[in-house]
Amino acid sequence: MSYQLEFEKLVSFDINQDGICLDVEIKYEDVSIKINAKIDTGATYSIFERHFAEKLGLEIENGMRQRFGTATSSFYAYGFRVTLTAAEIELDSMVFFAEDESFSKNVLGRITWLDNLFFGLVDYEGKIYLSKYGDE
Amino acid sequence: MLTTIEAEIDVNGKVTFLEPLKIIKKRRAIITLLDDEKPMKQTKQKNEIKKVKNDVNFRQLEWLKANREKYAGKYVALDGDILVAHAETLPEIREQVKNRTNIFIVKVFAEETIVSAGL
Repeated sequence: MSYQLEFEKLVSFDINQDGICLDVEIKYEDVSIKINAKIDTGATYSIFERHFAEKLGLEIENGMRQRFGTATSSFYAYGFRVTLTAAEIELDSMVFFAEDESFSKNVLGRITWLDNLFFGLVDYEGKIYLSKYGDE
Repeated sequence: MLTTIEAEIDVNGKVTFLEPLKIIKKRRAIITLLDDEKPMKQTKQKNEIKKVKNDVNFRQLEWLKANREKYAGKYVALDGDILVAHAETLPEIREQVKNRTNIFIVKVFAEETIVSAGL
């Protein structure tokens, strides 16, 4: 038995980079910023460095505070409703910004990003296939 | 950080902001009066649309902050800041709101629940 999926978008990623990364745009009100973020299917939400929230004009402590865990520790981050665009696919998203200024990761996680997509990956070729779920 | 927003000043000097302005402490402002009225009106329409969307984002966040403990571990579907559905799974909630538009779906957790950061 074989299976077939069709996708709207094809984007390439740098196979030499540490992880599979995409350029994304986060927009809040009139301000938008571009970030290169790592796709992380193990991340519940998308999480970004604190200074990006400040660039968007957000008062970070006004967000929805949430505790996050890694394999070795935990930290807090603050969630905001933003528009998240990757590969020209625009999504209403809830993304988080780390409380700690030393947090230096940017990850695209599941809730309100990956769970809104059809996602195909060919790691060997550095290709990601994407479609918005529900647009099929 | 400098912020520029559009506003209208009537003949009595009353200032009406045409887009959301959120400040958390007293700020100084410099007001520049523009000559041209017409572009202002066109901008106002665009700003009204943008304002509605920004207001929705803000109100949804406030709803989530206020209600996330009650619906912890569940998906919630919001139309603006009105809860229209909640469910244990994404397919369930998608089914419940399939005939609606402009619905924001998100899973929420209690603040102290440790959710995965991946990494």
